[in-house]
Amino acid sequence: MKKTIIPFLAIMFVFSLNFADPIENAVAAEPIKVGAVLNFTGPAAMLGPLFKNGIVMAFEEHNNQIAGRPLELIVEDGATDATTCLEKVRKLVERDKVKIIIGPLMGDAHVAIAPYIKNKKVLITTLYCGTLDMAKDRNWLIYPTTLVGLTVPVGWYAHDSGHRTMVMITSDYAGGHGFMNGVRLGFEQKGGKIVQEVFVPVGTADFGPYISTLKDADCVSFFVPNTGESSRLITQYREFGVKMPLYGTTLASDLPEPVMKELGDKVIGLQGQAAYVWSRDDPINNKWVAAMKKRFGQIPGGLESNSYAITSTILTALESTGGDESFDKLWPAAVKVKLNTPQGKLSYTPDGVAITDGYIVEAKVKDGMYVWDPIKVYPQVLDPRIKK
Amino acid sequence: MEQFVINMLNGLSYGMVLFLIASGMSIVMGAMNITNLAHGVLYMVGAYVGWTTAVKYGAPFVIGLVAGGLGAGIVGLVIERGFLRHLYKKPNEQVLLTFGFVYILTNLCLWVWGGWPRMPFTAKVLAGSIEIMGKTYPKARLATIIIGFVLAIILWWLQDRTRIGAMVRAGMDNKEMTMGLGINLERVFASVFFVASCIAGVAGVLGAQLLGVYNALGLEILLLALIVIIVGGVGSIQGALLGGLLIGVIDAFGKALFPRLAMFTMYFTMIVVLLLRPSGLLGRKA
Repeated sequence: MKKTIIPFLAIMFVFSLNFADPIENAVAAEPIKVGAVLNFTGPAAMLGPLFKNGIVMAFEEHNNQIAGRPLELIVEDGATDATTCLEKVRKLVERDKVKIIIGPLMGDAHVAIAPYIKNKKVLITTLYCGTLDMAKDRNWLIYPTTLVGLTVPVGWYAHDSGHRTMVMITSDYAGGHGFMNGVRLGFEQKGGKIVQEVFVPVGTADFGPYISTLKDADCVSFFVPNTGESSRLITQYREFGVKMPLYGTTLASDLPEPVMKELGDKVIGLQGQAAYVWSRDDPINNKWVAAMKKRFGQIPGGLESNSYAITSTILTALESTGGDESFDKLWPAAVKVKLNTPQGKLSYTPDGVAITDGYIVEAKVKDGMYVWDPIKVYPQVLDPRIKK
Repeated sequence: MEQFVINMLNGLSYGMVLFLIASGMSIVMGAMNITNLAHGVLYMVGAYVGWTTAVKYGAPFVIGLVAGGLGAGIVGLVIERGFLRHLYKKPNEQVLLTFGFVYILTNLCLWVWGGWPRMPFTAKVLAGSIEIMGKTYPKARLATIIIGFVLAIILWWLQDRTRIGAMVRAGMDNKEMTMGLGINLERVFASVFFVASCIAGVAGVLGAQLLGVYNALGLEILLLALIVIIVGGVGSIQGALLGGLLIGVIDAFGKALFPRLAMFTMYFTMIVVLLLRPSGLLGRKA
């Protein structure tokens, strides 16, 4: 009996070595787990599915595998809440053993999870900017750039348009201050003067009392978070008949086309900054927009573009490490990634801050559609506080 | 002077929305001794139904108001008849149940209307602005003030000058005696809850002229309603009106004069009222 079994096992072993299906081998390989903390509930509930679409598209472009290892996406709901985000990040790291996390979105969540993530040596990304302080940890990929780097072109553009004095409406939290510090820096770099800064609490329902106190200036710039607050501010600004030109930040992501359509004439003529514009005529962008439209049935915006570019960075880095997701191998590979994304050319500083093009857009009606039309490009913008 | 007038109008228009939110909740608290924490989401349901009627299907704004009121009223009636009537005199269970409905209805709204906020909307005739003392002012805000005052008078008349109002007030003061007189208090309470929910829905549509409608609105509005009720006092239309207008005006002037303390002013008012008149400025005394 023993004599029969040993040769049989030996034959089986040889067969298993030589004739196994390579695809089955790949499937059997340990998956590369990528965590994502997105918002599917809470005030930013509408953003989670859009960010997820961008990640899924990048995965599918790589056939859901890298170096023969399958990619596994584990998505968690951050519930637009810093405490929940920290819980979900802990779950991803400790239970799911992920070494790569995409998100979360909000600055308060970044602050909550940063020490833990640094300690655990996890590569993590922002979904929409981050502070310069985070770059010191050297485990954050900060995309599309820092808060200040993103909005500094608004200040430049307002000055280039002939304005010399400005009033700023700033949402009174860390992110709001960061975005508007970029506008201030750009405007003052060129010699402009800020004559008033109005701080409004997060979640402001009625901007009327603030709008009625605005001082006279050549223009007004603003950042308030999310679609609801942005659209209320614009509506009430127009209703109160303020004539000063209005410059916005993070426009294309906060006010996508369906929202612009509902705002109607109130949004027309509004100018400001956008990280991504789907209507930009560029072969890579056109191809990506068509693929996204086919896959998800809707035109993509800045949120999908952000998560797609971030995920593409990670997957490209994983390719260069041969699928090794250990932090010490992956981080150096990630900050060396150079890509041509739908948003434009993308590279990173050694600290992980992305360098991308900055767009100034204007709300227009084109072919019966409300669109953000790119009217000026500031190539490869970097936070002026970072030395190249 | 013109700045003072504009701030006052801002305060009155916002205050009227606050009054309408709080009035229904206050009456339910006073008449039925029920703390309905789902009142804020009924406001949100009304706003969404009004938006669907007036914006999506292009019906006149007045129809949107009626639809919003009825929509919230029906949902409110289902909550009262289906669940709350089994929990009279059980305050802890009421709070848990109605807070549960906050999440259920919020998620149902998310499912039906999606996560994107809906823009402020109004009647065509109320769109745009007029000149007041050389300053441009939105017509919709003036309309909110007028409509709010009209509704306040109707609600006061219903509460203080009608037979059903007398039944409600009698029920507030002495339930057993009122039932002993042959009045079907359960039916009265169901009617009160329905009307209060309808007012929340109408408030949602009126408030959408200023605020639009979005998924987190239910909880945000609930907090404001509680502040107004604490300031104005439980169980009276006059109290809700005074509380709403006071908070609205203080909020508007606070934002204009001390913008960085804007979040503090209405809470400060509430603390002062709690210290000086714990039952509210015009609350019904037990």
